[in-house]
Amino acid sequence: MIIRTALFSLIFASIIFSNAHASEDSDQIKILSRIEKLQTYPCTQCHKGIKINVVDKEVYDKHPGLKFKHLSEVRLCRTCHDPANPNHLVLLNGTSITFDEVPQLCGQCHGKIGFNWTRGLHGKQVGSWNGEKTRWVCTECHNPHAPKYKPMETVLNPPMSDYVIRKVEHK
Amino acid sequence: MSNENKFDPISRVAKAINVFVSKPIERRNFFKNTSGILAALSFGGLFKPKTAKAMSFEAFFQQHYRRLTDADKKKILARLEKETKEEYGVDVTIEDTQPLPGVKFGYFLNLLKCNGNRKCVEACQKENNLDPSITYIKVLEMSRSTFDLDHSDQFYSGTVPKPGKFYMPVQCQQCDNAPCVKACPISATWKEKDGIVVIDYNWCIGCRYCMVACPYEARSFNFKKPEPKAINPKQNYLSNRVRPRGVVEKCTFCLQRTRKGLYPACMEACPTGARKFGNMLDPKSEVSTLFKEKKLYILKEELNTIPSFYYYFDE
Repeated sequence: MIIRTALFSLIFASIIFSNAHASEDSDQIKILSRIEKLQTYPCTQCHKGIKINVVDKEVYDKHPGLKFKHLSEVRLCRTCHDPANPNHLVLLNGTSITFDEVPQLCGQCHGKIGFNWTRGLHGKQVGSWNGEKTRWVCTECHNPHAPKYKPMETVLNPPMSDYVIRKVEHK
Repeated sequence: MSNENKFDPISRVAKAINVFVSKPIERRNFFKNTSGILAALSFGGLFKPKTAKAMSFEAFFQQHYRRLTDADKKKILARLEKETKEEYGVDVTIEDTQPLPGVKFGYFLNLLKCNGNRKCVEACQKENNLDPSITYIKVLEMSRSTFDLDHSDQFYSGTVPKPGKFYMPVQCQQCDNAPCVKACPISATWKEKDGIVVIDYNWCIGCRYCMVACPYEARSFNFKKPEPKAINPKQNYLSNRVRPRGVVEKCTFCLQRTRKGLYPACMEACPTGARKFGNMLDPKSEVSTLFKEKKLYILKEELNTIPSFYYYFDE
């Protein structure tokens, strides 16, 4: 099991950090950095190590805005957060990774989606279809503690046109 | 007995011109005969009109009987840029980029990811200088149990996704066997080498036969002069330049962006990552992978239009 995850993360890492994978050699895939957008980063401002392992009231008070709705049976912070280095995340085999490499972490459980992400089939890319493109990491769209996609409000609501025939309600 | 008054100035001028012109000009038909000469002179350029809008000889006759050289094309684009500046007060650049070799565009849309928020529609309007009443993309809200286009709703609003519904954006499918191209009586619309069906807005006469022919209702007509909210200055002759009143327009896969290697505006705006775009002829692109792996659906397959727009369902 350890060898399997190690092998998987090795393949994963080599796919992300090399240019010659499932796309042209001239394609350069940049990852949009997540670290810059984290509001309470670096975590070592407050934490020397992470001692608490269960999400309870104290955690909610200290981190305003935190909602934990991810695998609610498993409420262990240290599954993902590295207890030795609060600025990093940790994989199941003990490897410490940065917040920008979070697809490796999510891909451990969400394997098919993670694999599709490395091929550009899941998630968002902006830039050029035949050249340099910027790929967004998982946490750009999904809150890692409550990852279910939130409903949105529509834009450009009707009436959109003066010449549109509105749907008639038949009684 | 002649009624000529020798001090009448018009008959004097008429007699003077009579000397140079073979047909005798008399006082009665002075204006009838000389106005034709004046008109011909103004076309020829002697009476230069003050604005670019006034018909020049070239604009009037469209010069379609000869193949345009590159210099001719530059002049036409410069004239269009000047007209746009006069009409809308914005400095624009109109280009005429050629299709990239070895490219055929394909667009793939993941229907399980689209939640109907219409950010793609808004981005398309901004990028392509559309009048607010026209949208190239129409997002249909359909009930999950059926794929029935007749009972779809285009005019939903509120918080999406609504329970029990799925959302399908429809835009020009850039068909390989396009009925609109076959319907146009004057060949103002045609399919380019990279797969995009384009319209020459200066050639379109506004008969709307193409709109009748299109089974996806992808084309829109400019019933009034378009007034885009803000003009995107990077324009292309065949796609997003500001169109005159009375022509048909439609999605062109943002060829002003995609022919330079960028993603189309709708794809960049989609917040859920439902849209995928690329070169179908490149075996290593994402769209080639999707084409090989996923179960793909096309709209109105029985009409044999062979669209370049594919839908799939994928978690």
